[in-house]
Amino acid sequence: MKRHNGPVMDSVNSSNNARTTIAEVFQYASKSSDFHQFSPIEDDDSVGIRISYYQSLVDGLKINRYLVSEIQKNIEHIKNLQDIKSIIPLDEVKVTHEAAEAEKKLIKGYAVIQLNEAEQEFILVNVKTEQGHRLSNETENEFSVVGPKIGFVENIDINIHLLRQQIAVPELVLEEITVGTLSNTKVIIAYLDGVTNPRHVQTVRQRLKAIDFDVIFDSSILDQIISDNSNTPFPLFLSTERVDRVIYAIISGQVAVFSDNSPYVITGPSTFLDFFISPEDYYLPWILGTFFRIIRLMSVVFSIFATPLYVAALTYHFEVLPEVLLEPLIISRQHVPFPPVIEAIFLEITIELLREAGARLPTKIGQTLGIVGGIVIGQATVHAALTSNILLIIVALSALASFTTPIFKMANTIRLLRFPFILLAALWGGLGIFVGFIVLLGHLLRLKSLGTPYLVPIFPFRTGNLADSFIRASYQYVTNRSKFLKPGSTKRYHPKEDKEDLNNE
Amino acid sequence: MGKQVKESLTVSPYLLWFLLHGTQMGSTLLIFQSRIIKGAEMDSMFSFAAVGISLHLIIAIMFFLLENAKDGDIISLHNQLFGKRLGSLLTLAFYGYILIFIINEMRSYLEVIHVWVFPNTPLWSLSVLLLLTSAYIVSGGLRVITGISLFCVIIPSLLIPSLYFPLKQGHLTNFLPLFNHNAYEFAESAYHSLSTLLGIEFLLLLYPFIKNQEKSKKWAHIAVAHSTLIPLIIGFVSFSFFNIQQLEHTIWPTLILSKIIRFPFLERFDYIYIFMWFFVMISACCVGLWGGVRILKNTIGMKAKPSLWITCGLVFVVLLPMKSPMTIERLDSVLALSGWILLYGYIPLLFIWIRVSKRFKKREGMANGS
Repeated sequence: MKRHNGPVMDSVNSSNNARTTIAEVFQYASKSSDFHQFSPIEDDDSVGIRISYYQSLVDGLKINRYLVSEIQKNIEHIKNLQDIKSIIPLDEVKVTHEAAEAEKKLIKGYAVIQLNEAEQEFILVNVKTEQGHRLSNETENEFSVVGPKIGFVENIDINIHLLRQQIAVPELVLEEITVGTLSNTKVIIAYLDGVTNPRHVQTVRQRLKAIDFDVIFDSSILDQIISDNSNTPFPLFLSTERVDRVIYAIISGQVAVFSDNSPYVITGPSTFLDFFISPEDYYLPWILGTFFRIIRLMSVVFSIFATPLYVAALTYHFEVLPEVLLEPLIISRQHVPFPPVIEAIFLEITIELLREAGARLPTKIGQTLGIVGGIVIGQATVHAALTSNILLIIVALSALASFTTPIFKMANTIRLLRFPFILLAALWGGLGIFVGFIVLLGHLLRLKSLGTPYLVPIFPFRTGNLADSFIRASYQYVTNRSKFLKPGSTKRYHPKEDKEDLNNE
Repeated sequence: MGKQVKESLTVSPYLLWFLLHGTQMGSTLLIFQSRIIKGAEMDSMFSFAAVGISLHLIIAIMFFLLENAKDGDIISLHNQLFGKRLGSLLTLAFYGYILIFIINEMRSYLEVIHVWVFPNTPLWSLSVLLLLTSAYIVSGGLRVITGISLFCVIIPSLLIPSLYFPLKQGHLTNFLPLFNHNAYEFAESAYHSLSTLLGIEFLLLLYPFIKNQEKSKKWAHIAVAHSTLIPLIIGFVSFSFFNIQQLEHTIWPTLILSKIIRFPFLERFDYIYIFMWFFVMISACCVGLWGGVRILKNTIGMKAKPSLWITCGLVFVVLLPMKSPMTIERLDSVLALSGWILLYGYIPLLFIWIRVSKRFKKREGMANGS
């Protein structure tokens, strides 16, 4: 990756290098108004204690109750830094003389305690505050009726806590990496030691370490930077706010990447079919789970191909439709002045507009908009003979179908895919649709997620993984991890096999 | 063995099944019935099966040749036997054959599209569409081509059950009396059968890209058996559906066959057949283009991208002036003739050459030793 050194970055780097003593660090920091320094002991001649910190980053309660009061109480015993360290009742206390480290920690919410200003040694205490974070998140964007509703939040410590709560074994390994030259964002790679293939972990680690970026706003930025192929509308990593999804990915042998300040966690290597799995498939009995999964996959096909088929049939292939079906189509279209493709694109764009506006507006207004858009505009366009009734039904249904995809990024991709297919159908009819399908397949076959083919287990075809792909088989049969992830151990659990049937009587 | 390319570029041996089968099946499958009946009429099925069985022998010979080639493909074999210059020349002749193969595949499919679906669309725009699609797939490398072959075998296979509808209307008595033709007529049918089964010669280029080459032999034979079986099924249904006089006057029997299938939401099932045949022909075109690129790369030393575009350009330039249906007929007969020369003349000849030269060398070595 090429380094881009903007003017801001240069100044940050050069000034960083310049400050080698703690005094210089403080001098530079005091340019900001929220940098505070004070001495808890006034009019004392023997020891001069000074505490420095960024007020906006620390917990005032910790400073007052633990630091200041303890130091004041034990002031007679304080002879050196070790004494202070032993009396501070906080866990992260460290004696050091590295000015550069102090500067980094200060900006993360640590306080510096100095004894006798002139000394180069000082104490770093973690007194950071958790302000500005929400404590809980309902999984509103990936809702499920059955199952846990708790989702990840913007605070990485809480997220890790949520993860550790459910995978309660020491084999769950967390590796920390700092990414972002301006944001210094904490990024954590989580995997199950002995299960996850070390090659996947190594790939993720390497790619994350190679990142040169200024501010990591969200994990989706990491997603785009470390993805295998950036010229694709398809998401190559699964990103989710659901705790159960991430846990399921980790126990299947995938790697999860947490990023601070992001409620979305990315997991990989992901395959195409992963994006159409909903956690609810696993909470419902397998027959229902399978049924809903198949419905979801069919809705994807419907959502991509319904409108193009309409355009192809009405532009070129009238004769394909039987008379009984053709008649209502012609009647509904007889006053429409446009060719089918204009009509279809017009309606599709209207739906996209509604969807986009609905996403930007507050929830309450969004509902009104849905009614205004869906019913009023839809009815009015049909009355004004801008579109046909039947196309309105098709477009609305395919919009509905595209909402069934559980992962937002994939749902967006499917939204987009419809348009090239409509254009191909308008240009070459049914042949265009088939050509588009082959090109789409060719594109999907090229994609890889962390080096694993995107279309696995369909191609390269892998037997033994089909119990949990198009269908969701009973828990008796999904005891193995997917072999294409090359996990360290393939067995997940061993079900007991004493059933009540003719064999055991 | 040292005859493989880099491990990461190879594909699993079972995929050779789909690669070869996908290459063999093509647009001729729509048309072959009315070709093979020239000669043995309804008995031509037997000639066809005989050609299919004889291809197993050719496959075995090819594997023998490839095992004796330095890099495991025809290019290195040519260089080995005939020296660099003459070898390259022969390989380029094979390139010419590949061009004819692709052109025949595309042109006969375009004719179907032209006659059945888009009579007014200019040929060049459709051929550009087909060439761009195949070029996009080929530029992804052999893995992508293999994947496409897999899908292009599986998806059209879903059409096989639809043959039940014409079979319901069929008359098995059409086949009777059996064996009322002489050997010459059987041979004529056999001659016309080969162009439907052409495509196995790409094994000569694909071989180094197959993992576990020993295991791949089985899959190559399965591919040939599969490719013989599919036309036999289609042929059986069409021979029982049509009588011989009808077949003589039908250009695309498979499509006419599918016309009688009707659903409440679909009046013309033949459209599904026509568009599905895009899948059938595109895999053959992709493997063909890939073979062309590989030959240009290894003989002239051209880079992959330009040689892909040059091959596509050549196909396009030759495709354009072929306007009349007669040229398609002629193209097919050229392809059939060169296929016969290649598979049943040239390859056995190479086989004999290698055997003789080996024995000669052995004797020489023994003579030197004693």
